[in-house]
Amino acid sequence: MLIGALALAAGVVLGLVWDVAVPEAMEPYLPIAVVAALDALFGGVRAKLDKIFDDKVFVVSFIFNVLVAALIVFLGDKLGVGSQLSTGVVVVLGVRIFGNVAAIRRHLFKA
Amino acid sequence: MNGYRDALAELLDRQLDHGYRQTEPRKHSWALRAFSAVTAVVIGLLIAVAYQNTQAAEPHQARTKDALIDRVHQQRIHTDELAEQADTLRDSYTQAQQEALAGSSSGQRALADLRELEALVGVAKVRGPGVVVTVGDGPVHNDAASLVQDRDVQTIVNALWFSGAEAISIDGQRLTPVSTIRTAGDAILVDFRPVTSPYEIKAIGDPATLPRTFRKHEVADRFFEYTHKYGMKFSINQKERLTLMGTTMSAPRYATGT
Repeated sequence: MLIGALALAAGVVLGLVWDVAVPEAMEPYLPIAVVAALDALFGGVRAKLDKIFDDKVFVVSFIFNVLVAALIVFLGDKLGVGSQLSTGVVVVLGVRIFGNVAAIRRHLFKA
Repeated sequence: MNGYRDALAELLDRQLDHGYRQTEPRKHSWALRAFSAVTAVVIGLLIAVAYQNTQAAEPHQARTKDALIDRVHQQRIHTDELAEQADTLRDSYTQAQQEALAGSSSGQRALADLRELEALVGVAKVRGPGVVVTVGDGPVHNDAASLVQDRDVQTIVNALWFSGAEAISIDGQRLTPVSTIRTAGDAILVDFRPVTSPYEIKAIGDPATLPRTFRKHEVADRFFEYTHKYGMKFSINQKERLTLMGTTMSAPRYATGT
């Protein structure tokens, strides 16, 4: 848990210090990737608190979520339903994030 | 049907990845732990990059907008200054003209002719009795029908000319033979200058006939009806003394006298 938190903080600092220019072609995928990343993050924290955290699931779920989300946006763009599908991805992952945060809250505050 | 319900219930009830549920805590290999840490770094990186990207885009847009607004303000001030300058120049021009022509009797005749023509086309400042017609937008929340359109102003101006008006101004903007009244976006432009509701249309003319004829005109009836129907403002006030400012009008280039 501690290592994870430190790694996350390191990533944030790195991103803030290192001025990464996002290529224009990647820009539509960034918001979706962020939501997928947040989903993986909160899922991982919750699993940790449930004492069923597994490194492999964490890594694979993150990579897959980001890839699938990007694929959906890519397909949507090609088929002319890009923004609708992006909304769909955000809604689905948003619901998951909410549920996981609620579970984390129950763990931390027992309420 | 059942499958769909299940999928929905699952989505709302169980947000955790199935992988977490199905595994019993395994032996942690260090390699996997390192992967986890790298993933966490990547997540943090993604969040920070997205934040920076958004931050970088926003002030840029705001700056562009502010700069544009600034320029509009500056240009507006500049326009006002130029208009003021034009007014003083016109005054000094009129005075110089007067001084130059007042000396001889033929000059005086020419001056009188000139003043008459200038008053007629709207270049000179004129005074006289007349009417002030005020027309204004109704409550905006009603609908677009309660807003005064360029057509409305045109109709009123035409009815005033018909009723014997000799000089007309809209919100202080004097009308000439080549004046235009038209809509651009949400604003009404009189000779490219915006005018705003309520529109004050001043007309100078015979006090015995101008107010009476205009009041009886079908257009006045129609606008009084609009006040009831759409809540538009419309009023006709007779005035003993009105002053209409002159405006500039460039000399015709193609239309020559014969």
